[in-house]
Amino acid sequence: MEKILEINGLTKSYGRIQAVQNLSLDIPKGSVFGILGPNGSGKTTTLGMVLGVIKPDSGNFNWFGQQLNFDTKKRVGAILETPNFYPYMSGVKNLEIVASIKEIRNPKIEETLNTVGLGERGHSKFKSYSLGMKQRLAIASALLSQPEILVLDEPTNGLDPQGIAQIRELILEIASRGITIIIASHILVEIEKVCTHAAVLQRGVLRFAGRVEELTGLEGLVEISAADNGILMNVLNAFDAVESVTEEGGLLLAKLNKEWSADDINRQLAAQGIFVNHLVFRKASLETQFLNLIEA
Amino acid sequence: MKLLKIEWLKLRNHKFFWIGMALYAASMIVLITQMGKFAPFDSKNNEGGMIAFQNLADAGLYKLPYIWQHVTYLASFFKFIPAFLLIFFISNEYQYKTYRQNVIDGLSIGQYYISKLFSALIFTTISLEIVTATGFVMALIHNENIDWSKFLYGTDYLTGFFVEVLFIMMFTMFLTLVFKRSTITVIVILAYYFIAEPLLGLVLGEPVKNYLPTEPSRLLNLQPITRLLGADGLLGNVTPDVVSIKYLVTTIFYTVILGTAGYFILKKRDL
Repeated sequence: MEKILEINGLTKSYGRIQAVQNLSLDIPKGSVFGILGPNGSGKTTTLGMVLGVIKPDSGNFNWFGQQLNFDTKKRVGAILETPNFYPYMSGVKNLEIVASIKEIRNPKIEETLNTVGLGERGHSKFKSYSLGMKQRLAIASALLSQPEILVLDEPTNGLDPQGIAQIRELILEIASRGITIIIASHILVEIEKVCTHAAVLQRGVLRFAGRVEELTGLEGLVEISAADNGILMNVLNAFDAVESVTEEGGLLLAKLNKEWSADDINRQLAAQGIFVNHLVFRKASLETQFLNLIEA
Repeated sequence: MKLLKIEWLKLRNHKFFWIGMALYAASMIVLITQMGKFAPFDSKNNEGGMIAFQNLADAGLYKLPYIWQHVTYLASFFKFIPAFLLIFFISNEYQYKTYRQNVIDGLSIGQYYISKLFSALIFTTISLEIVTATGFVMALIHNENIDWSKFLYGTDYLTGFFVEVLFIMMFTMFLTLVFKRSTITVIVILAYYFIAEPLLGLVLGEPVKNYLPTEPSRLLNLQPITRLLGADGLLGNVTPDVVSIKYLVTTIFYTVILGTAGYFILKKRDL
């Protein structure tokens, strides 16, 4: 597994507040990596450190196996917190400045604006943009140097549902081009819907890092019912893969301790002469997992 | 060059830059061209008749080589206009968080700082150009039989003016970097320049007073008007004909100190 970003023992405190404590994390190439945590958990501080705008107290990090430098900055497109642009300039002019800073010859400004759906408003002043447009301009700006990795900090913060959906689609579209994406967010659904990997931070401490399925799939829940739920419960309890069964509103909830497909469940129950009339996987939501993790 | 280009893009696209520069140029040009019509001692109402000047132009305001000293003295009244524009532009970079974004996008902190030095240099150069052009035109209008071989005499005051404005730029830039906000910076600068340091100077007395941070820049061009009116002797003033090298060097010294200190402030802080 090729690592795009390698973080070793990063620590940062503000006075007595430990913003990030001894954080180590690897971001694999090609992943959509979610950094998840409540407000104030150290997400932005972590990103600020790896982007070179916050000085770590200790620890280090490498982009593409190198220290942060002009070259690595060019290979990374990043936005920290809010979209930061010159309000008195148009989207196009703002991107021209970014292109000059990144030394991009013949920047594809119009094309990039089209990608994010801002083609028609490119010449309007930044201050006239809606929040969703500002976010999209930020993504356009990050994409301008055709980076290998995109870093987004709360990209859907403050957007309406439609705006959130647009950004999400955009992120998935960018990811499909093979660009690695790091997203910091406190919105769990966002991470669940777009990320392949996730890390959970709480008060600056890493609580989990791994694939999103590991986070959500550890404790699968299956809703099942049959003509006779009493017999069904006994049968389910006899299966190895079932950890426990509870009843909830006329349905049985089977908690699984390993991966078990609907096919398998159905087949095995049928073999026992039970035919289910309801079988739905209820994924333990990321939210439940998340709360479990940070309450642990 | 990349940094200069970026800085110029940032300035050029803001209407405040053009409005501010227009106001600055207009103020200088109006004062310089109209000052000649100002007649402090009107002979008609001055029965004593000792000084019978019609107005400052006739008194020699625009005569070579003194014209350079006179125009730069007048122009320096407006030096806070570009200084405030610089404060506005630099504090905006904090307010918009574009400073941080510039660094994320690829500038090093040193490069960002150099780009701001270019801003200071752009403002100073424009100031010099306005005063030189205005002075040149006035010199052509008011001097007959110009001896071109001596045309450069007195232009050391242009150098002095450049150094003075550059110093003010670095002084304001340093304080903007310290405070990050424009309002407080403007208040501190005015309070320091016009109240705190003069008071401190009064307490400390000469010669220490002359080496406080902003004082040498003020001593580069002492008011030449009393000499112009022939009143120096009367008032016991001595108006120098040349820029004091001592104060020129001291001003440059402070400019460099403030310039270096500004860099370390940026370097030390998180963005």
